Amino acid sequence: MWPDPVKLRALELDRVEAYVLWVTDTHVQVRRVPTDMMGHVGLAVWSHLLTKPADKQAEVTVV
Amino acid sequence: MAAESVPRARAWVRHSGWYDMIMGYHTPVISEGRRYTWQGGRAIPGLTSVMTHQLMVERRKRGKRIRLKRTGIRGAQLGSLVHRQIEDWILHDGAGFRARHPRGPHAYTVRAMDEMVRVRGWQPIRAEYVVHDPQVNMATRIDVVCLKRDGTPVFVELKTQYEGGAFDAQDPDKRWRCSGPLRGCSCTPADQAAVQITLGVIMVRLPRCARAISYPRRCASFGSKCGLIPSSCAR
Repeated sequence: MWPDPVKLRALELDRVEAYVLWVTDTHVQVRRVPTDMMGHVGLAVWSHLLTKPADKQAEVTVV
Repeated sequence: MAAESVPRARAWVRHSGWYDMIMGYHTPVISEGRRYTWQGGRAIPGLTSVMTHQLMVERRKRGKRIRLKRTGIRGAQLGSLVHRQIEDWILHDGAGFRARHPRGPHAYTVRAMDEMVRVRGWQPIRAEYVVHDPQVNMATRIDVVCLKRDGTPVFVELKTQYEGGAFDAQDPDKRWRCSGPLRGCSCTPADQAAVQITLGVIMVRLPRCARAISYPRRCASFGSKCGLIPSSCAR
């Protein structure tokens, strides 16, 4: 089962807010990154990165 | 809004438990330009390069550079200028800012600060906040960290003028790796920014409370084709 609610609670991501603020010539757009997205996507990506050896991080792959 | 009209750190921010944590977080990682090093020695990959190399596939578009018509500044230069000005705006008073930027703040800088401070009432407390995680061995800078009136910390990823406004448009030359955890998700600049700030926030949170967490070796699939940030979250 994913995400594990215990892990999400431990990270306390619901206690912080993250925004993307995009400035253009004509307007400013502010979008909040949803907490569940931070939990699901953030932890999935994080655990994916943890499976990679640190010295492999700088490998370049161009397709 | 003039540079000196932005309020300095107000007393109320210090009542937030987060203030001490954020201001007291110091990493031995040094950020020099786009490079991160462990106290000037060993190089540490930045989050952007980790995302590019581990999570995304990208067809390089050689020679493609966005030059803004009105100012003649390249898109990347404009982004760097705005980031630098916002950092100086937060760190220095009006005179200090003017000494560093005699031509005054760029219109984008003013617009971004106005949105954060006046419109939303956030108090910026740190900019270009370097965070690092030794387990994953990567570092990044969070563009702006603010506190809301209720003490909630707000982490902001700042983007400027993305290719003529195509912030939500899918770039056909970029996508998430099929073998990665974001396979199937849309990969617009907005989505990339969301992942970027999310990982930065997790790096801030991890040292405090999540060291004991054991992570699964394999990741779940996110098969959805929808964007990572629902449009309903837009202002």
